[in-house]
Amino acid sequence: MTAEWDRLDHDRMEEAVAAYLLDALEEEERAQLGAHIEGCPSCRALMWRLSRAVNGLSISVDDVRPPERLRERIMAAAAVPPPGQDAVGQTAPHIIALPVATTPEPPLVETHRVRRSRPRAVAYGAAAAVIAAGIAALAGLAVNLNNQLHHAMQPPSVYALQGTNGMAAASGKVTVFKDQGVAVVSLNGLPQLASSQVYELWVIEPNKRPVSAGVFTPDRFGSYTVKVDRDLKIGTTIAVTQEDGPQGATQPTQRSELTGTVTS
Amino acid sequence: MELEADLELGEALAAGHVRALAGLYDRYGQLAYSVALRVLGDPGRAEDVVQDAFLKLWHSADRFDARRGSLRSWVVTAVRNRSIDYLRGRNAHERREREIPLDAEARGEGSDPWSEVATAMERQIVREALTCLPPEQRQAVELAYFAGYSHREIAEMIRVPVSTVKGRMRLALEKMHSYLQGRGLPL
Repeated sequence: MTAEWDRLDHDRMEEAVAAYLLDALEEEERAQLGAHIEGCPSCRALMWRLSRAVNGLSISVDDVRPPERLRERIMAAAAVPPPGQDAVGQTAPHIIALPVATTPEPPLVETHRVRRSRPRAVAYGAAAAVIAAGIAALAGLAVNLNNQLHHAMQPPSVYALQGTNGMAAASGKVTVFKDQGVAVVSLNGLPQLASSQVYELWVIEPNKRPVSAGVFTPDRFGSYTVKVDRDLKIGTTIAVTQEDGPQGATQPTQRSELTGTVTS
Repeated sequence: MELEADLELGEALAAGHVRALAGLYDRYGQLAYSVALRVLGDPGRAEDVVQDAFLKLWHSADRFDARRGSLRSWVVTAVRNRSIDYLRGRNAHERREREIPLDAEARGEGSDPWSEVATAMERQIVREALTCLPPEQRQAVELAYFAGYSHREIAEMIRVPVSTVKGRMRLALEKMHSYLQGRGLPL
């Protein structure tokens, strides 16, 4: 009876290996199968074989070249040392080889801004320079963070911002560096603004009034990255609104259509 | 040969050499972005996901084990998983990464098969393999892998039993494996 049950259980598990590899199982079933595979050479062999087909799926997609800036974004973000690593002993490998900003960052650091009133070629050149300066500023931020690190680090936490309605195409994320008491907000897909308007970033702690983290204008790709010099506590919401420029508002004048919350 | 390159790059990553991260991106960034874009359909979100995935890999590089699979599958799995997490509105830390267990027999089969074949040729062959699948099997695989649906969701969507979906997935992957092997890919 036991052997029969074991065989049935094995058959049921074996049938689910493909779904497991395709990440299509519910969590409980996934855990059961994972445990079964640990002790079942037959299912492990099947999994190993089918995994080749799954790996192949990824290369069936159309080849699309990513934007050049993505590489710089990754390298800048990686300049913050891995969690738990001794910043003193490991500083050099983690500082990226980019120009370092020599001036301290203001509370809100612009990384991308396009002066759209200029002729296109000049504007693009200026944009490239500003982007480069922005990357340098991020590198400076990373170096500053490196310098501020203590021996015991926590991994950064990342939270998503999701757009709705007029900002449905927009997205973003908040990377919270708890140890440093700072966060980096990265936004993409922001709609272009009327010339009289700016975007304003808000930090809203639970049961408190929104606090402005500054105003900004995204680049021609609708992207923008800012550093927020605040310790974002659990429950804090990050929101973006469109306000009258150039100063923005002291309180949001509209419901935010791009928000995210620090959850844990 | 690429296994050796993977080992070398993996070791450099684990040692925290930032040039290794640049090398990883230069080697697999385009594929990573292509996968994210295929899943998410949005360039901005694809960028975010690729950045998240590469940072995750950077911060956990010491866990890369070339015996379990190539750097490419490591990168692509991370990107695909995060893309699906994004679609599902799930935090990355809620995910338990799938790991292919080490197996003596499997190790004897050699390195990851995808590491030694030109990407363009691979793409063509894999697409042929997908085209050869019965539509219902291909549908089950693509809904799961590229759209992030669970087998139960797929079963409800196309009004068949869950066991049927599982069976289609298995048959599809078995056929793909056979096709790819038959075309001389080093499986």
